Amino acid sequence: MNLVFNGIAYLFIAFSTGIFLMGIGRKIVARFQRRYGPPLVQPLYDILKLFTKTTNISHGYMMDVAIIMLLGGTLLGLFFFPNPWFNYFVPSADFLVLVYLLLFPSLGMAMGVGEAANPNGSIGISRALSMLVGYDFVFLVVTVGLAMAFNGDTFFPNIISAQQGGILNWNILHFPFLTIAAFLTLMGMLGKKPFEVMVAPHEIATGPMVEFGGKYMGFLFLQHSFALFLELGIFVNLFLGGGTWYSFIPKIIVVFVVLLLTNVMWSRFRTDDAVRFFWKYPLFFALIDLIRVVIV
Amino acid sequence: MEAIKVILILPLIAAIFSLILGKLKGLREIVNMLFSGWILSILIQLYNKSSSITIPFFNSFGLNFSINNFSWFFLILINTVAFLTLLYFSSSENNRKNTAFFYFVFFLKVFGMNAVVMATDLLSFFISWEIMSIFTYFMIVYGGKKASMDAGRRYIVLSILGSMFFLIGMITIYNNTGTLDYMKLRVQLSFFSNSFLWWLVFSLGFSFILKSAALPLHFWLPDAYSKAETAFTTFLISISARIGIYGFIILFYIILGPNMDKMGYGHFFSFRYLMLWIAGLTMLVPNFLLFLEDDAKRMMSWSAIGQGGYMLAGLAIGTPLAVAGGLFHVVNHALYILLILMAIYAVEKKTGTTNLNELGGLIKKMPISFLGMLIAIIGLAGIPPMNGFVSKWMIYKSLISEKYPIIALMAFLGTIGTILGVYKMIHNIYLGQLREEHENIKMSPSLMQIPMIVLMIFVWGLGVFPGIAFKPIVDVQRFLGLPLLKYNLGGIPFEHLNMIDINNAMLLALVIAFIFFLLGGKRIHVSQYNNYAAGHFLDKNIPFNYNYNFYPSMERVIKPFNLRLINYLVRDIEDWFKILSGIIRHFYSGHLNWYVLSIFACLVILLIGGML
Repeated sequence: MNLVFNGIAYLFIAFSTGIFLMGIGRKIVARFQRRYGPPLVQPLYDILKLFTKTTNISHGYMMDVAIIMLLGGTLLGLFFFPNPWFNYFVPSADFLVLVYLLLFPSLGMAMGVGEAANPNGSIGISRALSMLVGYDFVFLVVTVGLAMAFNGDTFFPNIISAQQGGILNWNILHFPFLTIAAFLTLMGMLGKKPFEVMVAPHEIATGPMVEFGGKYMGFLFLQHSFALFLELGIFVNLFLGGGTWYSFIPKIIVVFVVLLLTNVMWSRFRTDDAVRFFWKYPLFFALIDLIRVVIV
Repeated sequence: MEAIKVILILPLIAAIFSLILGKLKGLREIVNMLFSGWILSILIQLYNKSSSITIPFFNSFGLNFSINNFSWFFLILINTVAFLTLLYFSSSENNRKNTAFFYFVFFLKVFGMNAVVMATDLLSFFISWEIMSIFTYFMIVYGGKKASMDAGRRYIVLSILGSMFFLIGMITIYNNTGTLDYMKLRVQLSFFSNSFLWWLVFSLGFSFILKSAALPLHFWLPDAYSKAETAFTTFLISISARIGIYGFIILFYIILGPNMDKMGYGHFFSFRYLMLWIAGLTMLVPNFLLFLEDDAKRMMSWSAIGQGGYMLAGLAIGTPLAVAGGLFHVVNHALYILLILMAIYAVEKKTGTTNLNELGGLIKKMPISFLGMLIAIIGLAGIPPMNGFVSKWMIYKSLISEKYPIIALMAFLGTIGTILGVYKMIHNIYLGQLREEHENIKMSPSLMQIPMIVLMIFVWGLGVFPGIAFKPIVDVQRFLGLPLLKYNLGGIPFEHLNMIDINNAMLLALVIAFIFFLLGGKRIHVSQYNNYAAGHFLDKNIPFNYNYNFYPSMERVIKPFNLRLINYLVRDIEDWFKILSGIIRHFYSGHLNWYVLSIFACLVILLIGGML
C-alpha cells in the first residue's frame, strides 16, 4: 500500500514540478522580451481547458494509441530513473535501457502524426528524427564516457552513489566537457532554442502537432511536463549528484533556469545545421572527456 | 532409420516430390507443408540429444554429420523459418510461372543449409556450403529478370572466389595437420605459428565475411536479395545470410578456440579487435544507408547486412554475455525480419509494388499487417520491450564493459540510423495519405494472417521472456566450451536487466495514460481530407503524401561522407573486368587452327619455364 502511495505521490510531484517549470519558463522568456508573461499557473489552465474541450478530432485508432504511447512512454522513463520517492522498478534496468526507453514515446508520437496524413506533420517528424540523430548520438557518447569512467558499469544508482559526499565529488567537476555536451543534448531533447525547429510556435504549421487539438493537445502538454522532470532529472542524476527529497527539485529548477537563459540567447537552427552543430562542438567536447577517460 | 538421416534426406525427398506434383495446385502446397512440418517435429524431439553419422566418400575421407546442441540451435532456426515462409507463401495465391521449380530450389537450399550446420569436418562443410551457394544463386535468379540475373552473376562469381580461398585453406590445413575434423584440428593448431593461423583465418574467413555480407564484402547483397522474388527474399534475408555467422562461430570457437587470443599483440592489435572493426563498420554504414533507399525490400536487404554486424560483434568479443547476445540476435533478427517481409509481401500482393514512393495510408485497409510491421520494427530498431532490444542491449553492454568504446559508439549510431530507416518504411507504406487507387483494397486472407500473428507473439514474447531462448543458447555455449551465461526467465539478473519488470512497468504506464485518455472528452474520427492545410484545400485529386526524399536534412548532412564509396569502387572494378573479359573473349574465335596454335604456344612456354 505504501508503494502505491509512493508511486502516486511521485507522479504528482513530477507533474507539479513540470507544470511549475513550464510556468516560470514562460515568465522568464517573457521578461527577456520585455513582456509580463502569463500567470504562473497558465500551463495548468491550458491543460484543463484542452481536456474539457468538446471537439476532439482524431484520424484513427493509431492516433489514439499514439498519445497513450507518448504519455505512457514518458511515465515509463520516470519509473526507471533513480529518484528520492519511488524506486521500485529501478533495479530492473540499467542506464542503457533508460536511454532506449526514452525513444519509446517519440516513436509512438511519430506513428500518430503519420496516421493523421498531414504532410506538414510528416515534415515535422522528419525534422524531429533528423535532429534525434544529432543529439542522441552525442548523448550516447556521454553515456559511454561515463560508463568508461565507472569501469564499464552502467547501473544508474551506482553512478549516483559515486558522487555522494559533497560538491567536490559531483561529475560536473570531474567531467566538465561531458557536462557541456550533455547540457547541449538536453536542450535538443527538450526542444529548446536553437534546436526547436520541430516544435517552435512559429513553425507550427510544419510541426508534428499540426493535427493535434483538444485532449490530444492536452496530452502533449501533460507529456511535456513529465518529460521536463524526467530529462532534467536525468541530467541532475548524472552530473549533479542526484538528490534527496529536498535537494532534487531545487537542482532541477537551477538546471532549467540555466537552460532557459541559454535558450533566450540563441536564434533557431535549421535542422541540418543543428545536426552539424551537434556533430561538431558537443561531440568534440564529449570526445575530449571520453578519450581522457579511456587513456588515463 | 536414425533421426539424423531423416533430417538429411527429407528435404531431398520433398524437393523430388515438388517436381512430381508440379502442376497439382493445392496438393503440392499441402505436401510441402507436411514435409517441412515433419522435419520440424523431428527436430523438436531431438533437443538435447546427440547423434552422428559418417557417409563414405572416397579413400579415407568420409562425410561426417552430427546433431548436437550447437547444430540443433541452427537447425531449428533454419527449419522454423522455412516452415513459416512456406506456410505464408503457400497460402497466398500467386501467379508464378514455374512453381514446381520454386519449391524444388527452396527445399534443396534448406537441404544445403541443414547439411552445413550438421557438418563436423571441413570437407563435408565445404561440399554442403557449395550446394547451398548454388541454390542461393537459383533463388536470386528465379524470376529471370535482367536485374536479378546480373546480381546473381555477381554473387556466384564472388562465391566461387570465396570457395577457392576456402579450398586452398583446407588443402594447406590438411597438408600441415593431416586432419580436417574440427575437434582434432583445434588440438593440432596450438602447435602452429601465428602466421599459419593468420593464413588459416584469412582463407576460411573470406568466405564467411562474404556470406554474412560484412564490410567490405557486402556490396553483392542488396541487389541480389532485393531483386529476387519476395518469398525467396524473405528466406534469404532472414536466415541465409546468417550462415556466415555460423561459419564465424566454427572458426572462432571450434577451430581456433583458445588459439584466438594468441593472435596479435595486446588489446588493440589483436584478431578480436580486427573482427570488431569489421563488425563496427558493418553496423555503422549499412544502417545509415537505410533511409536513402526507396524500396522496402532493398531497405531490408541493407538492414540485413547491418544487423549481421551486431551478431559478429557479439561473437568477436567472446564474453558469455556477448556470445549469447550475438546468438540471440540471430534468432531475433530471423523472427522480426520475417514478420516485416511478410507485411511487405501482403502489401506487394495487393498493390503490386514495394516502392515506398508509390504507397501510403494502408493502415486503414490492412491493420493486421500494420500491427505486425510496427511490432517488428520496434524489435529491429532495438527499442524495449521487443526481442531485438534484449540482444542489442547485451552487445552494447559487453562492448562497454570490455572497453571497446569506439565500436560501442558505432553500434549506437547504427541503431539510430535504423530508427530513421524503419520509420520511413512504415510511414511511407502504412501512414500518410491513402491513394485513390488503393481505396478498394481488402485485408489479406486469414490464412496469411496466422503466421504473422504467431510471429508477433514470438517477437514480443522473446522480449518479455528472453530466458526461453537463453536455455538453448547456453547449451550452445556449453558445447563450445565457453563460459556460461547466468540468466533467469526475465533477463540477466547480475547485469540489472529484468524484461518482465520492464514490461509490467510499461503496462502500468500505459494504463495510467489510458485513464487520462478516458478523462478527456469524446473523440470523433475524421477523414484524411479533413486536415489542416494552411488555408489551402485537400481532396482526392491532390497527392499530398510526404514520402519522396523523406529526410532531406539528413541527406544534406551525410552527403560529404560519401557512404557509397565501396559501391562505386566495385562498379569501377567490374567495368574494368568487363573490358578485360571482352578482350579475352576474342580468344574463342571458333577457328581450330587458332586453338592448336595457342596450345602449342602454351607448351613452348611451359617447356622454357621447365628449362629455366
